Amino acid sequence: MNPAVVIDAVRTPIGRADARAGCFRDVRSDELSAALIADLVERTTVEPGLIEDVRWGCVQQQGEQGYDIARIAVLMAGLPIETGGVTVNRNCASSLQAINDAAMSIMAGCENVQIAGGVEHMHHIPMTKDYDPAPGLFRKYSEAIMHMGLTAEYLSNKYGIGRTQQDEFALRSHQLADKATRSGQFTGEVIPTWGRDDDGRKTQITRDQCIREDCSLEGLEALPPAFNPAGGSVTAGNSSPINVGAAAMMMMSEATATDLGLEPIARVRAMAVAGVDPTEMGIGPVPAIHKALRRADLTLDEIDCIEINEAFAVQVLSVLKLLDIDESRVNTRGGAIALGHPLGASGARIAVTLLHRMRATGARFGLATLCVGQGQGVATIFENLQGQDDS
Amino acid sequence: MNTAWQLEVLDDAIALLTIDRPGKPVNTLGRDVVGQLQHHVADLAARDGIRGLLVRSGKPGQYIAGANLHELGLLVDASDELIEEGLSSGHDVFTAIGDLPFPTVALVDGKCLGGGTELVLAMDERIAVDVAGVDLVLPEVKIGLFPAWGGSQRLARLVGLHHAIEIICGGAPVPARRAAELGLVFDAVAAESLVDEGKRRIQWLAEDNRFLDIREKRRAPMGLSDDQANFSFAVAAGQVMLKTKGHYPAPLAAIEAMQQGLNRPLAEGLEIERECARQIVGSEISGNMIRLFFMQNRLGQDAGGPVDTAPRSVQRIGVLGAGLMGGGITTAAARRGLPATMVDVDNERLAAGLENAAAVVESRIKIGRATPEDVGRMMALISTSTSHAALADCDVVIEAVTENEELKTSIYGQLADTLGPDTILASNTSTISVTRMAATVPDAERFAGMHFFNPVDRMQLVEVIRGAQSSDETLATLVALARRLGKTPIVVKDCPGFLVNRILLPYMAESLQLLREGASADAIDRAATKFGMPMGPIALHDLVGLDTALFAGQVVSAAVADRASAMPILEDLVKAGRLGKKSGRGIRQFVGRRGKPAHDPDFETFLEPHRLESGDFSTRDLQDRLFLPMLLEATRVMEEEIVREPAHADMGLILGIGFPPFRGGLLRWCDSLGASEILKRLEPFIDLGPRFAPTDSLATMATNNSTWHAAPAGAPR
Repeated sequence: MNPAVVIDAVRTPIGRADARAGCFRDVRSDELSAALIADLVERTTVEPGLIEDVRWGCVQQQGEQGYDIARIAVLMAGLPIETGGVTVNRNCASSLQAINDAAMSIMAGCENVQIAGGVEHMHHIPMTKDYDPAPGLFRKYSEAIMHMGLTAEYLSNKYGIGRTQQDEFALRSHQLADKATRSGQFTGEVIPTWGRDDDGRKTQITRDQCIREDCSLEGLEALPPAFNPAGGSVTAGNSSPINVGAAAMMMMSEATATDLGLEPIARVRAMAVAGVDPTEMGIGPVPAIHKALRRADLTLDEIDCIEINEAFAVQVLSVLKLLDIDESRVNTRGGAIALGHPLGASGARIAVTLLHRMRATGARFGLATLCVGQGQGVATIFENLQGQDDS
Repeated sequence: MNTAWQLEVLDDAIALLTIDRPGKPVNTLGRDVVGQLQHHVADLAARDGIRGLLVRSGKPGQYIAGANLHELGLLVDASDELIEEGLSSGHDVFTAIGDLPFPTVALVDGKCLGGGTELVLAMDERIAVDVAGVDLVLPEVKIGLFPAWGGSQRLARLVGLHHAIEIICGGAPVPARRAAELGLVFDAVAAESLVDEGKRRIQWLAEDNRFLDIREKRRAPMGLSDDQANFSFAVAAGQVMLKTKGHYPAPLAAIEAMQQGLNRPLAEGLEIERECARQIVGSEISGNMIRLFFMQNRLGQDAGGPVDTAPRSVQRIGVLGAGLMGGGITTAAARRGLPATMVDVDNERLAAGLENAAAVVESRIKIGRATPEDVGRMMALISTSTSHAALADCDVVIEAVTENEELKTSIYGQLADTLGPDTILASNTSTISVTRMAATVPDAERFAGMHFFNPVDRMQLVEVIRGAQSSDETLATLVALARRLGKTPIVVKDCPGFLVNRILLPYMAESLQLLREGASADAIDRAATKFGMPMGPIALHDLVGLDTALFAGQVVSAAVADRASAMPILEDLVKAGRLGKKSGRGIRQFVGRRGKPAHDPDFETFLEPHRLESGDFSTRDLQDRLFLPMLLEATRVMEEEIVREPAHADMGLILGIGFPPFRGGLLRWCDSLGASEILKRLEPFIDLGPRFAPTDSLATMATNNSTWHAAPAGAPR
């Protein structure tokens, strides 16, 4: 089997999905994807002719995200016509799935040099656009399984995670993200991307738009419950916002990297997907992590860096509780509550941040995982190949 | 010196060049203006310390309107040297701008056309003001040219193949925000931040000499693969052919210039562009299109009579009749914000009229040219009534009831007590004598014809018919009203058939005559469409309805009995209920769900009794038979001073029946062949009757070697 490695991992800054203030309000998701892909190719110096496929996560595949946006981005990025493009959908884990699919293909000796990542423009194509569930889906389920906020409320009840704990976790996310931004921890992963600054001027954006430097517990506590006004605990403050962004990594077989004289930053050690009950979709990472660890022949203790997508504070806290994981290893540069959750890009976004964290800290193993609406979890374990970053 | 450009250097060593031709409404790139620009560019290139160049306009809403009209006129029949000089002047200065040793940014703060767009394309970057009316346009194909000051080579390198072809071959305006989406401009910004944004862009371009990299990329071949190029250009040429039937060479030349030039370095591409342009500039078709442009401009300013006669103010119009025409006129008024009262005999008809009105705007919503709010706004301006009393407060009342003189005049009789003392009454008659009907109206001075064409929302032409007693003020008011309704009015002296139908009729009659002589319907129609008509005369008969054609024919024939060919075959067909498309059968039959026209063997039995000695007809024979009687009628129209200028006859036929614009008009066609040649072409047909007899005016022209059209302003003939 050919081990799959990552050569480089990048992302756009994450913008707010907002028609008036969103920094990418007039940038299309295909343009965002193509620009990031082109920059990644330039940065890695990989000969474009070697790239066999682009696997691109995207949830709402319609409008500017329709008709296989991966292939469209390939053509717009000026990659050779021989490079393929496939769009992958596993809801919020789409682009981590895209990375896993690329790794599997490499390991199986199929398509070798690939770009994996994803995009979502939740302003141009809203999450609920043309939502039309089958009546038969709700034979055993409340329609509320499709409302992520209500599944989060359910976790709060089921696992006994209260409002204060959630707000404290949200505050932590903002504080860590703010600190990471200030100390330049994201500069290695964020590609300056054309968008609009606060004054509406077209500028190369370098910072994530949703981080609140002034976030306070008092402010969070003052917010009303967003999904269950009568006694709920999940608020806009302890949930991830609605976003726009893209993330991508260059992947290939370890042997090809050696042939090309490239220094991979990490190897894909193990991957897994698992289903859970849609009513508690937020705990999807739990079985997925168990599976991945088993396949990697590792224990949770051996994983130094963990990135769990913060769909909701209560959802991350439930996962941590169920797995008995200490917060100190988790999302130390902040998470989706502060950075944002552009659905189809989020899996790759946390993997990108994870790999840069691992390089900075010299961690040997890292884990990226996300929960998935309708009850799934995806997990990927990476192994650091570069030791600690000197810089 | 009368300088068009003002140069200032802003505090951060950025030069700001402002174009503002003193005392002129718009900025055009005439030779003098281009020369001055050349001078400024050379001066800036030699100066020390300049860090960038911004170019904006000093005229609100107007950036650069493109070529100077006078010089454009000179391109008609221009010598090779003059054409060469015209091409070079733009190329030289734009190349020099592209070589300036600092970044250049165009600040497009108004409408930017033609050469203006090519100027901004030659700069490193463009920023536009984000307000309605700020458009970038390359309209050259509309006057038979294509962008040949570098536009055909630079646009695709900037925005890509597809959009470049669309913008150049379509000639449609690109609004600021769309331009930003396409990458034609960097951004569309608020007017007040335009200069600051320009400076900021210059700074960005100057960092690490980015502008030099960008220039290098834009000067490189585009690197299209054979498949990319062949596919795109084949599709584009196919679309152009479909639209133009090959009658308009300019868009094809633009495609050729792009196909040959884009995969070479820019300098070579520019050379190819000039080569392609040489085949177009100064050609007969481009000459005709330029002349047409001038005619249109002049007609657009024509007041309809003495210029010192002011039109009356019109606050509300009344429309009598809610049928196809009445409903259409009402819609045209309401769509442009003019309140209209529609009157008909019962509520069912009024409801149908309103439905048709809404349908017009709804069809525009489908193509993105209107919004649902527009329907509401429009409907709010329409009131309806079954009583003439509702017309009391209307400044103009347009009668659009069935084409029946008795009906019309009986209604006029009823209106005497209803209309206000100053109300102007206009009849939307297509055939009936306005002067005769004037005897029955409340005030003959305040009565005239206003002949709209069907369908009203699509047809631009309105014939304003001057009756013997119509006053100048009445004419001026109706001309202004027609223009307000978005139409192009032409004032026509009352005569049977007025302008368009009168000239059309000999052509229609001749097509029936040709059928009788054994020419096939398809051959006749093909000869006409090859000439450039949108459809042939046989198809037109079936489309307008044989009953309508017969009625119009009888009105006109009665007046010109000496040269009219009788149309008994039409009478037979109408009697048999074969009315054309509307009844399913006419000269052709209409088959299938979509009513496609097809040969109808039954028609032969109607033709048989009317057959004449048959002949063999070449396409050219058929064209001469169809168009020479038409031309002769136009010369009679001019002799009788039915319209005031040859341009009015030409524009009337182009707008009214789709006479091919590339021929410049019917009388222009005569001019381009020459009167002597026309006389020569008439000779073989003299025996066919007086309808082929040369007219006096034509004979005089042949003798004097003169033409109908004088040279347009600034241009030789």
